[in-house]
Amino acid sequence: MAEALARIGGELDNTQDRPERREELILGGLNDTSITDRVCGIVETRPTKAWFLALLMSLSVLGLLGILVPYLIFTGVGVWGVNNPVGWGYAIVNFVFWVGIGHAGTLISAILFLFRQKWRTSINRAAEAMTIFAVICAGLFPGIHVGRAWFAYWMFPLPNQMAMWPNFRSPLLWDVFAVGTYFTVSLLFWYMGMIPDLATLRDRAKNGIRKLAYGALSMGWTGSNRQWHRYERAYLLLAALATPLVLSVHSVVSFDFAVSQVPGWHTTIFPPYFVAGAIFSGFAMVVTLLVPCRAIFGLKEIITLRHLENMNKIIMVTGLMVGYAYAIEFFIAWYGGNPVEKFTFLNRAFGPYDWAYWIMVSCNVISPQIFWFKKARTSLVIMFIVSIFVNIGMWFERFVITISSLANDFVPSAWDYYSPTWVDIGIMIGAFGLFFTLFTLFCRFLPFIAMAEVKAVVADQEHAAHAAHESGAAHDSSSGAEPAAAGAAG
Amino acid sequence: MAGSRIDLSNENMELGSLSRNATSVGMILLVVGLVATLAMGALTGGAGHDSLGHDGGAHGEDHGADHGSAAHDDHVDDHAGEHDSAHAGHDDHHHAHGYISERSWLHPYLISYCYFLAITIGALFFVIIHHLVRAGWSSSLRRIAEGVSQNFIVMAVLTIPILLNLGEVYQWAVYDVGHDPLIDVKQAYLNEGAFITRFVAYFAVWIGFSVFFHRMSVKQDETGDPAISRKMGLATPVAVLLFALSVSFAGFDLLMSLDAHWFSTIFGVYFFAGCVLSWHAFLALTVIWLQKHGRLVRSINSEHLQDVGKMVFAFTIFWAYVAFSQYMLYWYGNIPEETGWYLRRQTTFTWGAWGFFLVFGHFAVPFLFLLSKHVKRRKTTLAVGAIWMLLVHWCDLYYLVMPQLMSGSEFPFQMIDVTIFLAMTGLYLITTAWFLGRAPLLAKRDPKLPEALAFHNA
Repeated sequence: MAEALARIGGELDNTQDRPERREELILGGLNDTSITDRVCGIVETRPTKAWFLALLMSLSVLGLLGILVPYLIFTGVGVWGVNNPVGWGYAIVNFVFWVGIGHAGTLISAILFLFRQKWRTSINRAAEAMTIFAVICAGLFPGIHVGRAWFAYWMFPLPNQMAMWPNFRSPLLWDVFAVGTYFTVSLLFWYMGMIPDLATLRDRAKNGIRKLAYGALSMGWTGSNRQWHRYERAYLLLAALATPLVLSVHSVVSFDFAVSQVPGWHTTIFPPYFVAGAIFSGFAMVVTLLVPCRAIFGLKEIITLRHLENMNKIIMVTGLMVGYAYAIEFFIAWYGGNPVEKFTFLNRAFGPYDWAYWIMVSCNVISPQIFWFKKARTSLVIMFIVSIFVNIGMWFERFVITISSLANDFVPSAWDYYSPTWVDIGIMIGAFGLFFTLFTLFCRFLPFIAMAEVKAVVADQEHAAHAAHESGAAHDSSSGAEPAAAGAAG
Repeated sequence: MAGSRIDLSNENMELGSLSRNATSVGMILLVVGLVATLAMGALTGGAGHDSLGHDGGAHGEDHGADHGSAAHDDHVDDHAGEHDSAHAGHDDHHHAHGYISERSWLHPYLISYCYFLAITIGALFFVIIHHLVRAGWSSSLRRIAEGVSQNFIVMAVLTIPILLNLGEVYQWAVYDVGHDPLIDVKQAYLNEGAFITRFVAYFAVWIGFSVFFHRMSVKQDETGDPAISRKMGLATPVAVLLFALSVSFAGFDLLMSLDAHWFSTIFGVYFFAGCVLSWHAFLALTVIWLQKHGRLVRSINSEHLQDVGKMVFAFTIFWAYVAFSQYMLYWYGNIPEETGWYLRRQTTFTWGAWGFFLVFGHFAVPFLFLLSKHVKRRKTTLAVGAIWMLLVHWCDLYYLVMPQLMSGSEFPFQMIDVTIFLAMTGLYLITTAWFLGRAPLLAKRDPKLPEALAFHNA
C-alpha cells in the first residue's frame, strides 16, 4: 500500500482518479491467506439467523409460485388477465425482464475479461450466479405460457411420428435456441471458473459430506502448472464464445417483437437497444444484490467502492443508451410519416398506459442521471435506491412495449384495456422468490468471490507497488503474475 | 517516464521530412483526381447537372424499377417481394420518389465526403472514449488520433459544396411542397435551413472537442501536468453524449435522407459503426507507415497493433450485426415503404452482387482473416486487412448512395466516382500530414504513457 486511503461514509475511498497511477482494487492489506479465509469463511461457518430468515422469506415467496403455477396449469390461462388484443401479458413481460437481468453476469465475466478489466474479478462470481438464476426464472414463463404446459417440450424440434414441427421461421423458436445456448454456456463458464475455488473449499473441508461434495465438484483439481495452463486457455476461449452470446440472446428476444408489423415493435434499433437495456437492468440487479451482501459477508475490502462506482457508471452509460433509443424511436415515428406508428408513441406517452410510460422514463432515464455526481456514485444508499428504480423501470419498459402496442393497434374497434389478475401478480412475485431462494443458497454453499482471480489482482498490486518503490527500476507487466498467484490457490 | 523500461531518449517522434512525402503523394492524387474529374465531366457529362430541373417531374423515366415508395401512392396492393418493372401508370405520379434518380457530380462527392468524415469522426471517438474509460494501453497512439481529428476543419469546408447544392442529391430540397405527403410530414426537419443549422451545430461540437483535446494534450507535452489529463477526462461524459447525438443525426441527414421516404431507427448506429471501423483501419496503416520510416518505433509495438487489429475485428462484427438487424427486420416485416430501399439494391444483378459482396467482403472474409492474433501482430498482414477494410468501407458507402440513381435499374458506375475520391484522398493526406506535423507524434509526457509502454496482451 502506497499510502493510507481516506474514507467516505465509513468506506475506504479508492475512487480517486489520478491519471498517473491505478488505484488498488483490493484493500485492507488482504493477502492470499486472508482472502481465502474470508471467502471460505462464508461457507464454512454456521449460517447466521439472518441467513435463515432470508431463506425462509424467499422460500415463502417461492411458495406462491408453487401454488399458482399448478393452479394455472390445472385451470388454464383464463386465470390470467390476457384478453383479445393483448394475448401477451405479464408472462412475456416477466420473461423479457428476467432474460435482461441475466445479462450482467456473462458480460462481466466474458466481455470485461476480453477488455482486461481487472475489477471484474471481485464481482464476477456472484454476478454469474445471478445470471444463471435469472435465466432459470425466465425459462419458467414460456413454459407456462404455452397453455398446455405438458406439451411444452413441443417447443423443441423433436422428431415425432406426427411429423409435427415448430415453426422455424418464428422468433419464438429462435428464442428457445438462443436462451438455451446462453444458459448452457453461462453455466459452463460459471462452473469452470469455480473449479479452482471449489478445490480450495475441498482442501479445507473438515467433514465427510463436505469433502465428498466439493471433491466431486472440483473434478480432481490439483493446481498444477499444466492444469492452470489449460484452464486459462479454456477460460479465454469460453469468454470469446460467450461474448457474442451476450449480444445475441437479447437481440433474438427483441426479434420476438421487431419482426412483426405491430406498431411500436417493428423498428430496426430494437436489437442493440434491447441489449443495452439488458445490461442496464443486469448491472442494476448486481448492485442491488452486492450492496447488502458485501456488508453481510464482510467483503468490503474485496468489493470496494471503486467496483460499485464502476458499475454505477455502466448503469449510467447504458441508461443513456436506452434513453437514446427511446428518443430515436420517437423521432422516427414522427419522421417516418406513418400515422399508426405516430399514434402508438403518442398513445404510450399520453394514452391509457401513460402511467406506466412515465414510470419507465422516470426510473430508466431520469433516475440514473444522479450518477453524474461522484457523491451519488459512491453513496451506498443512493446507488441502492437507483438500482431498485432501474429494476422497476426496466420491468415497466417491457410492460409498455408489450401491452401498449397490443392493446391499441390498427383497428380501434378491437382495442381493449389490459389488467392483470391476482394470479398474474402472484406469479410475478413468485418468480422473485425463486430467484432469491437460489441466490441465498448460492451464498452459503459456493464461493461467493472468485478467489483465485482476486489473488492474481493482489499479486499485480504488490508487483506494481514494488516497482513503484524501486523508482527507475524495471517495470514489468502483469503477464507473469497470474499463474504464480493462481498457483497458490489450489 | 520513471518506471518504464523502454528508453525513449532517441525515439523519433516528429513527422519531419515525412510530411513532405505524404504531401507530395497527396498532391499527385489531388491533381490527378481533379484533372481526371474535370476531363471525365467534359467527356461524359457526368459532372454536369444541366438536366436536373428543380421540379420533381424532371426525373420520371427511371421509376419503373422501384416499388418502395408505393405505400402512399395508389399502388398499395404492391407486394414487396414481386417485382414488376412494367408497372403501368407509375410514372404519372411525379412525386412518387423520395429521392433523386438522376446522376449529379454531388453523388460521388457525397460518398467521398462521408468516407473521410467517417475517419475523422472515428478519430475523435478514439480520443474521447479512451479518456472516458481511462485506458492506458492506447496513450502512445492517442496523439495520432488527436492529429487526424483536426481534419474536422477541412471537412467543414468540404461540406460547403453539399450545402450549396442540396437539390442535386436530396429530393426533399427541391420537391414541391404539398405534392408529397411523406416529405410534407417531415418538412420541419428536412429543409435547407434546418439542415444547414444542424451541420453548423455538428461541426461546432466536433471541431470544438477535437481542438480542445488536441490543445490540452500538446500542452501536456511541456508540463506533464496530470491535472490536464484529469481535465480532459472530466470533459468526456458530455463529449460522448453530444458525439452520439451529432453522429447519429449526421448519418440520418447525409445518407438516410437521400431517400426522404425511407427511415430506419438503427441507421445512426450503422453510420457510427462504419466511422469507428474505418478509423481503426486508417490508424493501423498510419502507424505502420510511420514505423516504416523510423517514427515511434519503440513507443508502439506489436501489442498495440494487435489491439488496434482487435478493434478493426470487433467493429467488423459490429457493423455486420447492425447491418443484419436492419436488413433482417425489414425483410421479415416486408412492408413496402421499408423494403423499397433494399429492393433498389437487389433487383438488378449488379447491385445484388454488390450486396452479397458486402456480406462476404465486409464481414465473412475479414472476420476469418482477422481472427488470428498472428495476423493482427504482423505488420504485413495487418496492413492487408486494414487496406481491405478501407476499400470495402468505400463499397459500403457506394451502396448507400448510388442505387438511387436510375432507381437501381442500372449499375451507375462512372470513372468520376473514382476520380473525385482520389482527389479527396489526396487532399486528406495533405491535411493529415500537416496536422500530424504540427505537434510531436507522441503524447510524450502523458502520465499514462508508462502504462502503454509496458503493455502486454495477457
